[in-house]
Amino acid sequence: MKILVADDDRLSRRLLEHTLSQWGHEVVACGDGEEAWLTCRQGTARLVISDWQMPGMDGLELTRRLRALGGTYTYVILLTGEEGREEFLTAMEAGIDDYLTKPVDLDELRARLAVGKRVLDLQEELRCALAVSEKLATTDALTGLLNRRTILERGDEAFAQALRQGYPLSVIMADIDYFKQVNDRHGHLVGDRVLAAVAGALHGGLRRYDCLGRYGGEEFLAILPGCAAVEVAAVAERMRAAVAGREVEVDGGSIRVTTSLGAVASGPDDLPHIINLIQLADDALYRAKAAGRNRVECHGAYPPSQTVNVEP
Amino acid sequence: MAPLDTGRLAEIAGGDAGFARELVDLFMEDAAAHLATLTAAIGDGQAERVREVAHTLKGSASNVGAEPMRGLAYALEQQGRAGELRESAPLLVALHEELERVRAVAEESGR
Repeated sequence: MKILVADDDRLSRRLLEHTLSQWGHEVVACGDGEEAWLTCRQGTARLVISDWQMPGMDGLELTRRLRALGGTYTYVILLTGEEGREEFLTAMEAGIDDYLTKPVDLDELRARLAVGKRVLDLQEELRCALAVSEKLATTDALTGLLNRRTILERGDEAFAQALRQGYPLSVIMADIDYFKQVNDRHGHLVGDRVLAAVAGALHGGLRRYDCLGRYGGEEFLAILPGCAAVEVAAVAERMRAAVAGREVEVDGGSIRVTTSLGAVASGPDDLPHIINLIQLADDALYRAKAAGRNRVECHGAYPPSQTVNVEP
Repeated sequence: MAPLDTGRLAEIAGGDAGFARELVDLFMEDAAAHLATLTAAIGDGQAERVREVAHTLKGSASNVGAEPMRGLAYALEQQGRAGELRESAPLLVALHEELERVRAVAEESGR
């Protein structure tokens, strides 16, 4: 475990440093509170053993700052002299987890470190579990893309930010052509594989900072921050071509599917809400379907869509 | 009471004689510096500074098991806290003497 030791007394510092290293810990020793604070802010020590009384920033102030910093929890053990009850309560209030009276009894130190490690390990476990459930709650299990709720949330945030900072934002809606026929002809398992393959292809056509989510059954929604009207058609076309060029393996061969896409870019003072943009993209998508599928339609007076021959 | 509890020292050094020696050397070096600071602070009547340095010295002494020095430093710390330094000079002399005793024990056990 990485442990930070803060003590202005050289002897005490050296003793802790040596002993903790002997026990297999990685130790960073600091001679005062200020130095300890700067080191802590770099955020690698999981546990801090700090003397109470140090010139400049004392152990309590260090603890208060650590608590105010938030983020990953740092376990704090305070080294105390023969302070009384009042002082002890103040220290607990400042946010210490445990304390040891000086001179430090090394057996006791070892025992208390074990307690600290237990708490920190528990925290780590919870953090991992939380990260997994966050991932599960935001992801569409079949395609690995963001789910509908999350892509809408991201869209909302991106829209607000674009509005605030005065840059454009584009939205692309994509829908797989004749998907029902794929399901009817090859079964749902193949249909699922087609969905996943299309998701991958669409994602590959986007820029790194764009978001893609599964909006409905075979419908996908992309949010493109900073993408203006002149660029969005090209991105959508790239996505279309990526899907059309992709073969999906099925038993005894492979199939290809196509997508129709509707794209829209927001001007600086256009629309009140992301939902309005999504609606316009959906309208454009509808026109792409009506005009024969496997094509891109853009909303408004922006560059006319590419005309592409449709496979029957 | 022994100037230096070599049993306690060996224990905190984890039975590592070299490290025990390093700790005592550190202690003696720091203690000498603390005593010089205390002499000046007592001379200038800086009670708060006396309290602070005596507190540190007390901590170091208890760490290595120099119990008589710990007791003297504690008494000096109390005087500093009370802002009452008139009786501090004799304590300072006693601390110097005790430090020499610690040195003697350390050198004897070091051979």
